[in-house]
Amino acid sequence: MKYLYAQFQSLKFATKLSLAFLLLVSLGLIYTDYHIRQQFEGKRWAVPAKVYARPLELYVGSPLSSNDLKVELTRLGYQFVPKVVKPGQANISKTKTIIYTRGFKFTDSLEKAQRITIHYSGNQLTKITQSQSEDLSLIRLEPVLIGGIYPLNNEDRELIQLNEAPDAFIQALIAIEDRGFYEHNGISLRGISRAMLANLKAGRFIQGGSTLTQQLIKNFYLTSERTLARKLLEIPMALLLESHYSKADILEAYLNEVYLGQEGARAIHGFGLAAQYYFAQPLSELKLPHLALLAGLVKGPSYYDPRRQPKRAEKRRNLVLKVLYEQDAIDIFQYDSARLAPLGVVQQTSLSKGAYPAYLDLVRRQLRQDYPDEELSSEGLRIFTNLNPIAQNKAETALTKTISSLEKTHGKSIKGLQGGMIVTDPQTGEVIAVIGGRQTRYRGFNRALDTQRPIGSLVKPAVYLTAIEQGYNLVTELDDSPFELDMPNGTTWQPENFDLKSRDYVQLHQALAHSYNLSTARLGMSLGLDNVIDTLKRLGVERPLAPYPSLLLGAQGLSPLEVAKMYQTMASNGFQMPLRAIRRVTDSTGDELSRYPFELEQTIDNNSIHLLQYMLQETTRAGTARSIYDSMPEDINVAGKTGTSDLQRDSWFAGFAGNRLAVVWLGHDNNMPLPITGSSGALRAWTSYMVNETLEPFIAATPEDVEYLWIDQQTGMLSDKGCFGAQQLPFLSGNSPTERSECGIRKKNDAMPAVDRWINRLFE
Amino acid sequence: MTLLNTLYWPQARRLTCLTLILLVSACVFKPSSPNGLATPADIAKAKLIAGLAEQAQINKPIVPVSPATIEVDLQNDAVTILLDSAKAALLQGDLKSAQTILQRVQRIAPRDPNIYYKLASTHLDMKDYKLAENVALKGVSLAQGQDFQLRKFWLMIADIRMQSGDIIAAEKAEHTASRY
Repeated sequence: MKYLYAQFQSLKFATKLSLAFLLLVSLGLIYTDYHIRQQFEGKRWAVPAKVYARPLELYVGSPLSSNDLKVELTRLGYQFVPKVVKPGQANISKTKTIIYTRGFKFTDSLEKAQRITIHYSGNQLTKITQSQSEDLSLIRLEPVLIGGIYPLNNEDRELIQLNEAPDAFIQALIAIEDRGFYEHNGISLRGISRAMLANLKAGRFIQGGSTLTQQLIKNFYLTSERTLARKLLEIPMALLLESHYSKADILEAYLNEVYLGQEGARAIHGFGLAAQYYFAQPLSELKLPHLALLAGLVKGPSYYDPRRQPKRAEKRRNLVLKVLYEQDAIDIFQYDSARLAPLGVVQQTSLSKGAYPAYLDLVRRQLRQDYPDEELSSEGLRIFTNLNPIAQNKAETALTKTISSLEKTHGKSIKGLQGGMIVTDPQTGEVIAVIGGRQTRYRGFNRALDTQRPIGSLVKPAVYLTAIEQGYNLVTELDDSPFELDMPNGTTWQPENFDLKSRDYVQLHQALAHSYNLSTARLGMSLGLDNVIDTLKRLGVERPLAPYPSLLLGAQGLSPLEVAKMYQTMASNGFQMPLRAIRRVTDSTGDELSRYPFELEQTIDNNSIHLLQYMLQETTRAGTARSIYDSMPEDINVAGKTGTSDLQRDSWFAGFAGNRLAVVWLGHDNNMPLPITGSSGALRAWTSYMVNETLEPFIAATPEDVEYLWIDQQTGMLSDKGCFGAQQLPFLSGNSPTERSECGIRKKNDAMPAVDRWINRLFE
Repeated sequence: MTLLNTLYWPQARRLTCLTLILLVSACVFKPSSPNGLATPADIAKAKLIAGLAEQAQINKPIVPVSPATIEVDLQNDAVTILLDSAKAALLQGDLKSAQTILQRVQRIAPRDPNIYYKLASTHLDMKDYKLAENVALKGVSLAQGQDFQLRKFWLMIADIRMQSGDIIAAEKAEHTASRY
């Protein structure tokens, strides 16, 4: 009896156990089932925000050279081919460029994909034609994707739909990874047994036998541990998945999930992204050899990395091609030409993503004010910026070339020179290029935004503007004799001119054009430091400024971005503008979420700013920045200011034409003195950039209350058109010199050569 | 060194002067007296002209004199298309789209006062008075020398100020408009 009871008990226990076990398993399955479905249908991936550059506008008369267009098309991943037949292709010749655009859905309008011909004459676009219809006046290319804002796990995504994957690609993938994909129900017993056989033969684990479904489970739901337990879990999960979803759904998810490479800290998931990462083109534009390579990459992205292991990659690619051929998916001609084709992988440095870390930095900062990090990196936002890849490219070239050239000239004394640069549109306040350091692709300290270095003479326009507002005119005489000021702390401030000379009198405009320190210091003190600070604020400097006399000579530290804001106000006729990197933010479907529109506020009156603009032009024509016109064409009018800080630790130049404003800073991070000044350093980089741009001259109409008068240069007194040494200078009505100078064919104390005297005598 | 720069060389100056004098003399020495001889008036005239010619070369402007007004290319089709498109958006009451389009055209033709006029009116419609006025003032600064435009802008500024409640400033703006 006892024995039977014991048996019963044990039996019951075993049953209880198995019942309990069965219950647990069922609950587990139900939960897993629920979990799988929820993940699959809900928000499956944290989709990073996409950041775009400005779309290139093509219109008749636009200042765009054929070469510039080529740069943009290259950045967009266009293939240059002899015959342009599908989107993503282009052909460039001397007088025209044929483009088959990809089209883009902008918030305000849809640009459709179309084949257009751009006609040139010199540096100007003269006509845009289209095969089917009449001439076009305006068309926008799709914007370059310049980066993303990624979630903390650093996964990047470029989501694609199943129909964006070429048929040939799907075939290749299935052929090499899961031959029976369409037949099995999640797991392939044939696949597993085949793998086991291969493993036994080889004596080690070489094949997994996993179906695409299992791989998806592995990537999607489970961690990447390769344990038996995990492998076993895959099986029911794969079966469950297949029971709920179609092959198409699973395949699409797979295409977007599979791990395909690593870019530094960022993982490359999905074929859409991999196509861009390896070939700089959308998946739909890739050809057979490229598709075969990608399909083969799944097995081991690092092992078959086409950049680091090209031979292995090629072998793997050709294996994929062979399988396709054996399955009659491709014919002998396709097979032969594909396996003999080069890998076609682009260099990482020519990828647009990752090429603009300094600009993206500015974008992120401006965004962070409005969007929390989480939303930025998981909602698939689209951010449209003002970056101009063409201008950025030119600026980078100019800065890095200048730094190399300076290092060659000055050798050890300048080794390790660093720099920062900002380029804006002076009319709209848009930031079009940012350079954070001499290694432009390196995401490190962003000197354009964060370096705060004494601006030196760049501050002087504020002093002279204050003077004009207080009634000084351009020929008011200033005292440029030695100057010293006793400071409250007992020391004495004794500024000096750069050339160490001094002058008793100098006209106001000459003092600024030649950047004299003594006259500026004296002038500033008599105007009042508070007034100069007020002017600086009205010019757009937001940082608190301490009222020390040394402020007048630029002891204040500012970043290149802050300097750009200041000079922007000068370039735009006295209108302060926020410098914007972002135009608009939309959600993943294109609906606008926020915009950063054109804003401005007039803080300096038209007339005063006009007089300042004259002096800044004089600086570039005859003053400290006159070397500009050694390489700049005469008819391109530009204005600007050189800046060299105390002990020559900083070399600055800020200047503008009609359509470009740029600020350049050069210096050592550790503040060591430089063997260069603003003129011999930063100015060279600025000029090198500007002469490569298609510039419009700086022009400002004479304001109503300003008149141009003929002035004798030497004395600053009124003169006449026909008089020797006369120039036209602007004056506020009612504030002009009253004394008139003597006017003669020659000045009396000039020694005259005999011939000239004879000429004169002819008429006496 | 440009060609103009070379004219600062004394030799070049002399050569130019001599050439000019010869050319000018050829034109000027049409004797005004019946017997074909040059009168003192003729000589004085020649001296003045030759002198002016020489000085014109020497007094080459260091800084180009700014124009009385800025010419804007009115033939730009792209601008026309976009402005029409903005107008259409405005008629539909879609101010935001209109602004987007206007900012797009501003990038293409940043000195065209008409664009700023339209942009200012969209801001006015949105009751953003401060921005509307500043955009209009920018239009004023670009339209210097064009009375018709200036009058339009100052009238708009008067309207903006009136709507924002600043009557005195509105009257000032109207007064300014009446000058054109």
